Amino acid sequence: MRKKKKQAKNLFRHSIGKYGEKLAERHLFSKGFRILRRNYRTPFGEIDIVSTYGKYLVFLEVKTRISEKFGTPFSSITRTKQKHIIRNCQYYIKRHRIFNRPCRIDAVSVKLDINKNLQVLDHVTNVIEIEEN
Amino acid sequence: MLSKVNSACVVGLSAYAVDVEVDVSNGLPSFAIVGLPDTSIRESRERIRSAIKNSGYTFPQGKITVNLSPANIKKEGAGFDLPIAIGILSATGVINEEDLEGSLFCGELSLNGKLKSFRGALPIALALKEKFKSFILPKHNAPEAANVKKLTVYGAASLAKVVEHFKGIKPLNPVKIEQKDVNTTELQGNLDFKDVKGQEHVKRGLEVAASGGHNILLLGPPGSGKSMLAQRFTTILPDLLPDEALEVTNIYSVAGQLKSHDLITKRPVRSPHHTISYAAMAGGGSYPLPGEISLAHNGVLFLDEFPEYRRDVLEALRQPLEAGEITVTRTQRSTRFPSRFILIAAMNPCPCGYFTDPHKNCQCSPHQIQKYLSKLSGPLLDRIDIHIEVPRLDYDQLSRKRTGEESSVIKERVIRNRNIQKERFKDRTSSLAYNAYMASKEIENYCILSKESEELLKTAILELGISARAYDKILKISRTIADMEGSERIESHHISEAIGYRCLDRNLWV
Repeated sequence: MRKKKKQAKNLFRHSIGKYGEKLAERHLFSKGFRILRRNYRTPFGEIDIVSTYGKYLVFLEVKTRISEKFGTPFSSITRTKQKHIIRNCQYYIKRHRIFNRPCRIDAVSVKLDINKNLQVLDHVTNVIEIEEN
Repeated sequence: MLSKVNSACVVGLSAYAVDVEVDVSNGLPSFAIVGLPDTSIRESRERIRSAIKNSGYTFPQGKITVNLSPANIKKEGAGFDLPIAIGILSATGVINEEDLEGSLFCGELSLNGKLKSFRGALPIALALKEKFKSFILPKHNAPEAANVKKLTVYGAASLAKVVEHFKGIKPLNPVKIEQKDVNTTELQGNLDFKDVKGQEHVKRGLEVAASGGHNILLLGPPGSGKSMLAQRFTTILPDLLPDEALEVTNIYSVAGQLKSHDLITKRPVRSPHHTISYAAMAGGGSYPLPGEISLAHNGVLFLDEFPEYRRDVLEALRQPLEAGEITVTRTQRSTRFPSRFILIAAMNPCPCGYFTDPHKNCQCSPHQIQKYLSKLSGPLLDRIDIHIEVPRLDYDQLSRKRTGEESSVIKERVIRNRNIQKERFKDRTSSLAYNAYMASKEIENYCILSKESEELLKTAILELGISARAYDKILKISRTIADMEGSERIESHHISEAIGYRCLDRNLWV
């Protein structure tokens, strides 16, 4: 009984994420991004969206939330999360040998209400940078 | 996508050129600075990013690598913000790289793109005037660097102004310094020797000290006017000569203590509190900065309550008093700071203060007095040429209307005496041309005693037990006193006055 409830909850969460990514993708498409990959799996995790925009190769991280009880969508992209994203992107670049192309990492936050109606969609460019030393 | 900008970094009182190379290439965005930067340079990334953005230019999205060469020397200070920002703008094609050749850049950026003053503009200009044609730096620092004639100095208010200058949209005007007439009476406020009633012999002693560059120790009960006299000491010192002024300004620039960023024309007076630490007095820090003794260079160091200073602080004065400079050694490097000052020390004769007071009883036991005076070591006292007692004034002297000589009158005499010494030590730089800095060879040459005075000195030494260094001191002081009278030869009354200025040698009251 309890397990079932938990599964249902997970499914709900999963569907929110999926839906958010769909909304984000639609937004990007309308802005002129060419989407190359969705949910690109790497040994370290996955990249939500890989796209090109002009000369740039743009990696996107999409965050969807229905309540801000636990912070805004962007606040969940912590330092560790950033490191993971960078590692995924580096993997993609190496795997596809795209060495001489400007890259950047963007983030999209999607805020929904409880009935999955879109509230706010926020696209921020060039959010993560490799930190050395 | 590669560019090179010239900058510089201060070491001690000098500076070395640093090449700032910036490469912007494709790849995941990153911004790395290599070449042994310190924390303030590493943090400059955030300032530069915001400053470029807020000046209306785009910060490149790509892999940015900044190299500070030579790579083996540690760089420090926020002065690299401007050259790195200019390098990035030049690498992205905003500024033409060839335009930057021959120019030196230094300055700290604020987040809104304004340029802020940094430490050490003058030493950089002095050290690198041969290598570069122009020097671009924050507006506030421009006047101090403009004292170096060989460089064309441009002062800019913001990063945008610098970019406009190089793009030819709105060229900056070079900063020129016109020689200012310094109104000395205005500078010294309303302190004047005529305010001090009585104490004529102390004033005379201070005049001797000012003339010959001798160090002086004032000894007396509380309230006798020691501090008052010492504060007025600078009013009888001659003004700074141009090269001395440059030296002083250089030190203050390195210490980051230049307030107006103009040339300092007033003799510095430093009066640190007696709780001062060793490093603050002598100079120190992992990147050595000048301490109080160097900030008092070419001026006056006034130490009130002399025995209250920490022992190690006082002993640290010994070598600089003798050599006129201090070498601060750290594992990285050792740095030399000049420290040629006139020391004025003031102290009480005993812990309660009234030992030499004829009207008030001293509460101290002989042991206490002994202990109090033994805080000053023999070698340190030896290095102070003039010891003089400041007695407490009695009612008659206090109530008298007659005031003493004005500072300006004394100052004229001091200038005359200094000119005699300058003639004597023609081949030396001006900050060294004092009787107090005579070497023993020169003492032999210049201190010619008359027969009588030789006799007097001999008896004095035999009776008073004067050390070899004190013997030299007496000769130096008497040389100054003779100069004050315009006498070639040192006469017996010069010697006797000089011996009178060594009261602590005479073991009179211990």
